Amino acid sequence: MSSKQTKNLSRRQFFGVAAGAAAGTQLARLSPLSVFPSRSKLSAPARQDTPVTLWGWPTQITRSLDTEGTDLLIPRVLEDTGVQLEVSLVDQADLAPRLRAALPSGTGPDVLATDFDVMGPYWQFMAPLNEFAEAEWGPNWKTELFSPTAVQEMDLVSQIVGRPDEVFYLPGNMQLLGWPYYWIEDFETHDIDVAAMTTFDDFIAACQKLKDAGLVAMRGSGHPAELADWFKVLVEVAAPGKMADVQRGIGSFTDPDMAETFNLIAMMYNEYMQEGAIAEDAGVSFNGFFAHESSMVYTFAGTPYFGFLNGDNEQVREDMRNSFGTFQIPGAAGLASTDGGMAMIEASQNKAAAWEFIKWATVGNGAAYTARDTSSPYGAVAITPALTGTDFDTNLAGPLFDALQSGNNVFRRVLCADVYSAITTTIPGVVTGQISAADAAAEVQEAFERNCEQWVTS
Amino acid sequence: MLSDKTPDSPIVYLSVSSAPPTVKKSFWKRHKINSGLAFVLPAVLMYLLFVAWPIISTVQTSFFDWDGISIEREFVGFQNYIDLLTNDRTFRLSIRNNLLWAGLSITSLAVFGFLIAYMLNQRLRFRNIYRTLIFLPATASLVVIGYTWEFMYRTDGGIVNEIFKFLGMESAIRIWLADANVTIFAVIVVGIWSSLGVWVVIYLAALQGIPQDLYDSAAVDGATGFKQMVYLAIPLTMPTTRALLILGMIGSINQFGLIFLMSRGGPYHASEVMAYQIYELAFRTNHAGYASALSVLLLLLSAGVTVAQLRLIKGNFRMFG
Repeated sequence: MSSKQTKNLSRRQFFGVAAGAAAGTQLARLSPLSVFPSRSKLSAPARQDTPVTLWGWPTQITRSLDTEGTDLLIPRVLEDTGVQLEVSLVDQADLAPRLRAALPSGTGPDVLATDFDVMGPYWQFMAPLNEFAEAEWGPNWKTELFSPTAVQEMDLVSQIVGRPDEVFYLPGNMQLLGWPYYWIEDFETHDIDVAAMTTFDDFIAACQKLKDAGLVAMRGSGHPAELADWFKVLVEVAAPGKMADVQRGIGSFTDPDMAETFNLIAMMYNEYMQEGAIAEDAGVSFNGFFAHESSMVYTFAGTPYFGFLNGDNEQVREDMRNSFGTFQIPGAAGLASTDGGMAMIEASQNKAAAWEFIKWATVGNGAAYTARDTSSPYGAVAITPALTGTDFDTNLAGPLFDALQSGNNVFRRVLCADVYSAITTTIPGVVTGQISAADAAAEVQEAFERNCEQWVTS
Repeated sequence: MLSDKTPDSPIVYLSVSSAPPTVKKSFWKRHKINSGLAFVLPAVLMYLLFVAWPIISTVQTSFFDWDGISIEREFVGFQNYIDLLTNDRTFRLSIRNNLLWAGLSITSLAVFGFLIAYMLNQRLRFRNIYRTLIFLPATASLVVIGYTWEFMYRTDGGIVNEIFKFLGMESAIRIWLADANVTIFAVIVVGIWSSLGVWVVIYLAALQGIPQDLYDSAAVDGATGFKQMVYLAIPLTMPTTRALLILGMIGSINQFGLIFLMSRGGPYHASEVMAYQIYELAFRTNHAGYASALSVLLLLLSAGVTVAQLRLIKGNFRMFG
């Protein structure tokens, strides 16, 4: 048989056709007549018999610790609701990449513990909860169930998503920013009275006094959430109230008083923290404080005591009650906001069971367990923390409960993920002297104008 | 014509028909399919799906301003490439760091890898123990290596600074992972340490492939010790060196893991490399179009370096001996 008769496909032709098919498929996606299904068609009817999957980062609402620090989340959920829960926790810094990889392709969990700092572009993948909530609690459920601050934040998220009549998460535990821990013994030895610290200069004077005594005044870390927390706190010292304005497009991050925030943070890291704090791991930072290597710690000060009163280390639990105190950094306005909320993924195929878990974690027994065992306040007004009479209750709980009722704190939050990313990237640059505060502020403003201004100001 | 012979005879049976014999064609031939290509088809399909398609998709995405999430995206032509090449300080830093990584690590690995392998190829007491110890880091997970060294590099109480303190070398103490001038070097050292074992083992295999006769002849000619290494071992292991250089170069350009684990590209991009920048852009700040343009440049760079090196080598390329 001749080659003319067989007319085999040559290798060149074969690869050409295959590569062409791949390219053609890609090009077809560009067409308005594309046959690929849109994301909204990926949802499927609820299926009650499969486990509910939960993603989040390790915070109060993604665990259910007993008084000795044992996590009972899964058995408690099963016992109270009959829902089998599968939990997958990732470090906060890795949460955004994980969501980015999963959600646009219609995969991911049934429930997400929301981290507000990175949620910006991902709210659109959350299912509206109004229908579930109204069926459960009636039309006025939002204001009847949750504190004004919590409601204000829920509404803000709805506006950002562009669907103001819908609710995309239920708030869980609440936090205040700007509350360091301190060793009571150190403050007494060096005659530092937290009640007498009324200005930021007083606070710096206290730090200097500890430093002069040969102590590390404060331990800190380079964790992005900690850097963002410092910004949100010290912006109230450098430019009170302007965080809200610049995120509405009034003024700019480059205004000298806003830019000064970076200098204040650099001063804290370079003058009063342990050497190399900007590259320190958050856990190492905490452990150093627990080992009394510093007089204060401000790592994750957004959740000043929640999680340690019933941590798994007995000595820490003991110290939290008897050796550590807390106070608000003077000048920091003490933002009260949701630490973690629970949202349902729109593509979930297990919505009914997911809703049962969300209820449990935010307004049900799950919230009640955590409030009882950690004294953690919740967005749900019916969930009352069990105060234990510690220094934390005296100094922190009162202001926090007031703030939960008064609201008006939400705009101290960084609302756009790109601004959050720019802030947490540039702060190390200022701390290590690579860029000036003005350069850092310009970079943050550029990120805001490029990716955030349109939807935040609207 | 029919035969008189019984039908039992095979000869008779075969000669019954006067028509020309017909051979039944297989499915493959009937459908004119080259069976060789059919056998490779599954592999080719996998390649197209998991390699070719993503590359085409990345090239396509690089012409758009897209966050990687929204359905809408804006065609911007070559703007992403123009911004990268003209207006991106971090990209320039990444390139510099990749070049630093390649230069320092490949040079160190080639020099130390060869020298250690040469020593371990001699008749030494406890030779196998030394070989095991040298290779041990190569068996550890990158995550374990990254976190362990991060702990060792701690400014306060880290073993590296403690050793300097013990030796009275206070001036050498650094904030290893937070000093913009030092961090990239600190991570490169870890990269070299973790790869050295592999290079040593490959060099050792190459050295063991050199016939003893050549050493004996060299000895007769008066070449001993150092001269044998320079004039015999180095030239004869050159093909291995070239292969390792190419692999080392590609590995350096694609470096990601240790940066991610130890410094996250910081402080303020000071230790960022291209692969990490792509990750940051695509997955943390949602600039998928821009990250795709950077990916395409990285692909072209890897391909260019590899082709250039292969041309320099011109076929004189082998891994062992």
